[in-house]
Amino acid sequence: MTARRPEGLTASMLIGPATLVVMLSLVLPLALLARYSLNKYDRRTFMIEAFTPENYLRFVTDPFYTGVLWTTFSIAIVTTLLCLLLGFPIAYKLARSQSRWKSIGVLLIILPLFIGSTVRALGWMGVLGRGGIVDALYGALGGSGISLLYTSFAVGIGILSINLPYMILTLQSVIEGIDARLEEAADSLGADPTRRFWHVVLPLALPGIGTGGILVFILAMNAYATPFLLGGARFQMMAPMLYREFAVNNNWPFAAAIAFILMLTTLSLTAISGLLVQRRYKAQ
Amino acid sequence: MSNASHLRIEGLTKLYGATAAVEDVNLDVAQGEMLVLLGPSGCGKTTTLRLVAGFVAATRGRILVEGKDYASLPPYQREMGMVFQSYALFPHLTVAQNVTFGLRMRKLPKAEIDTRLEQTLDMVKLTTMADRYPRQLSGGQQQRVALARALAIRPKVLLLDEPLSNLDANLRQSVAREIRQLQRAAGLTALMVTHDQNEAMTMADRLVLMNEGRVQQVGTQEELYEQPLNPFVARFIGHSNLVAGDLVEADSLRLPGGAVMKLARRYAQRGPHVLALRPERVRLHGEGDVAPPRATATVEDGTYVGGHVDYLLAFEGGASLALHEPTGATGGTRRARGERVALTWDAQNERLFDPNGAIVTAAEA
Repeated sequence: MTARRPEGLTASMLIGPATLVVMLSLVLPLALLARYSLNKYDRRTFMIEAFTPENYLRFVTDPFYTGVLWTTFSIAIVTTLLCLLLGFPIAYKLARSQSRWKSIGVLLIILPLFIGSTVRALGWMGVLGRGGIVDALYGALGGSGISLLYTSFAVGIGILSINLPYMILTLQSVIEGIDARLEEAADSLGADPTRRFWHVVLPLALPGIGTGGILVFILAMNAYATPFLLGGARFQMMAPMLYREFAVNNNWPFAAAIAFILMLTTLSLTAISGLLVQRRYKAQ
Repeated sequence: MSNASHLRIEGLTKLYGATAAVEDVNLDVAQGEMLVLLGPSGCGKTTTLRLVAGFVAATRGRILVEGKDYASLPPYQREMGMVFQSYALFPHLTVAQNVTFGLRMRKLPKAEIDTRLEQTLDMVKLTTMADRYPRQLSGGQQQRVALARALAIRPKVLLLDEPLSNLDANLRQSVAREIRQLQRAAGLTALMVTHDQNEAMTMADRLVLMNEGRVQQVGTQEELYEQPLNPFVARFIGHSNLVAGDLVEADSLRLPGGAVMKLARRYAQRGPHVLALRPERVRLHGEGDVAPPRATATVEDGTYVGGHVDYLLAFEGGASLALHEPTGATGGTRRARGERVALTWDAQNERLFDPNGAIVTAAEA
């Protein structure tokens, strides 16, 4: 029989394989991508080994690219806020419901998640495009044909519809965790529904609002199929642009730089909002 | 009814579909009185409290405070201070913020809020805890914050939902006394709900015993114990033996097995009845020691529990009776199983009910 191994050693042996898998599948590609983003691009040979910040500088100095980043950020922020505004009442109703229809309601929220975002974007094309449902309705009311497709509105609606279920489900679970007696207590102490919301429900739901908001914001920042299909060629967001640089222009170094810029922007915004929520929650 | 009642509940009814959670409840509570709703779980006591608080909308009935009907007002306009079983303190607010919540909702001037906060915290002895959060307090302290929060708004009526059930057993008595003292000092009309009989007995000025959505009896501790109006009250408050039998003569109750009891009173009715006898109000004698006994029986079992011996007696033919014999009288000896015994009791301890559960009064003493 072998002698007893020190516990630390056993633990590291157990954690080892998993750590290795994570390293290989997550950290390594990222490191590789980081390395690529510092390379040079050449029209004929594509990627040349180098160590230059010029890809990043190109992005930051060209108003077209910063514009795309700004558009992406605006769409993400607006859809996140709309998700919150639309999602909160639904989540609240679901969380506080004791009806037997509740599970059906939850199912209706989850159901769209079974369908990929590409398919749903195609659906929106049918609704918003020329000859689509909106166009036909508008025509029937006497207007001349309108197409909402290939606008920021179309992209916004598309992303909103995809992200709303995530927001609702996150908020619902948080609101369910708020004791309904607290609302009754506020009630009996003279708080009308509006003040009950601002003084009790909202502060207690804040962590959930933070989590849901971050989740939905990240999804929107990285949306690919929706802006690609509903935004068309002229409406640019980061993920489709990244793909074009990578697959169409074969400019891997620049694509890698875009990827890092997108990731760092998303991460830092997430971290900031997370801190804000935490501080507000602590202060309360 | 007297005009002195401060809170008056008339015909209060709550239906869920066709089933009544609360049915035709009528109560009068005097200014400064503590009325305790007592009953088994599902009896409608909590629903009654929630109806008064306004968390549940009444199907029918009126809730009058100082003559004004509150039944159709939302809870935030009722000015009733509620203390919840789980305390329901706002976890994101400090003790001070919790206590002043109702005052801030009323938009009272800051100076007024500060004075009331100080007074209230002083009252519940939590002045040093003002800046703590509820999670940093013990159960007893949380309870006091909940009470302070309800008292701070100077409610018209104080509502207490099982206020002691989340406390350690050894803390309950002192908190009960404290609640009582604060309520008396403030002269508050209070309605409390509990399933615990001891708690109800300790806290109440008067008790309301409920069952299946209906009020069974309203009265003082003595009234409910000594003069139960139906078999349910007799059995629920303390313990009672409910002996079913046939009233064959004015003072004879024939039990199903054939044994006959000689009653202490004479009754005009005949036919099936239920006799309620409290175990500690029946005296036990050796057979032949007393003549004539009201009944004779056999000792089935005896458990010595200190202050008394807990006997189970069997009558001829199967009916049984629980009986407590004080150990002081017997010097602590226990009667053997199978021993024949004689029973006696006094007229005031005998309660006879008809098959519908209504009390039967004696024809003559």
